[in-house]
Amino acid sequence: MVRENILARLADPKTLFLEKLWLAIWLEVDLWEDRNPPNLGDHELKKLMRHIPANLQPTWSARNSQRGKHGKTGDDEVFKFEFKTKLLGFEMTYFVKGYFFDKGNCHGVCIQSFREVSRVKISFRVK
Amino acid sequence: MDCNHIIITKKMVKIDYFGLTFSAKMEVCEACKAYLWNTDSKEKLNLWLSEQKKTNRDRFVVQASLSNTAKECLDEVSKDYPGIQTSALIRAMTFIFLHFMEKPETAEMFEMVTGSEIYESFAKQEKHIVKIQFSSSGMMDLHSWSKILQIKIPKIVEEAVYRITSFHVESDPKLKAFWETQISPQISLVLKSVA
Repeated sequence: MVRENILARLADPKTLFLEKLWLAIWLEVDLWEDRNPPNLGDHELKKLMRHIPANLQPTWSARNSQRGKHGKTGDDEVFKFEFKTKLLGFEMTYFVKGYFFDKGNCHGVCIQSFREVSRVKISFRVK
Repeated sequence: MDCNHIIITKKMVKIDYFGLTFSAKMEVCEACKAYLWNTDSKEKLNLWLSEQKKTNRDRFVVQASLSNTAKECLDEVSKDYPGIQTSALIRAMTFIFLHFMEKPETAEMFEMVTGSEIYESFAKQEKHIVKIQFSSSGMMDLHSWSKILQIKIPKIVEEAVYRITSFHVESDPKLKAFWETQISPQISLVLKSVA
């Protein structure tokens, strides 16, 4: 998909949240890594994007900080959501928090938090 | 718990990538010590990786430890790809394994195969060291999955070989079909693309 088409999809209010997040991540992503508790990076987020349910509805709240490259121009609201996935015998739950930028001209996303919040051992059997 | 990164300063950050240290000036949150990956810092990392691939090639070699049965299975699988070296086959298997892990429906197939006798036998035998060279993007993929799965890079390569070769000998119709329609054609494709 060419950049102009992606920008059009990002500007369309009918675009579902997950598609908007997916497209914004592939255009430009700022991500805060290795915080306490530890954040994963944007490479990891891209690898787990398909594990996020397509019908996901995030919660929204007012953004507190205006610092950083996109702090002043980004959306006024931050999104938050959790998703679960199963990999190599574990069920993991991840937390994601961030905001799109710029307001009225979306071309990227700042991920303030992306971290694993729980990991539970599970077992699979063929039969 | 949810830091909003309100007070930010520019600081030198050092990050370990498979035994190599990347250092760059990055924006750092004073409160939680997180550092910001943006377009600039990612470009610096990519340049650094290209340099490292030229000067520290040994760091892009993964030493995996495979069981006798896995080696025999690899020899069997390699008969389908004449002239292909074992290391190239392992690299292709690793690439495909990681590709399938990105999708939940295929990642689940790789869970199901662990119930097989052949998979369980891999853990019990004498091991042989194999060395596999990866590209910088391949190593970054392994590094990312190592963080996600919380297992070491060689273990990911071993799991890729164990699980994929288990599919090769699987008699369960669903898993056998997955080998025939998904894994085997992908191995051919990857091996052809690098040939």
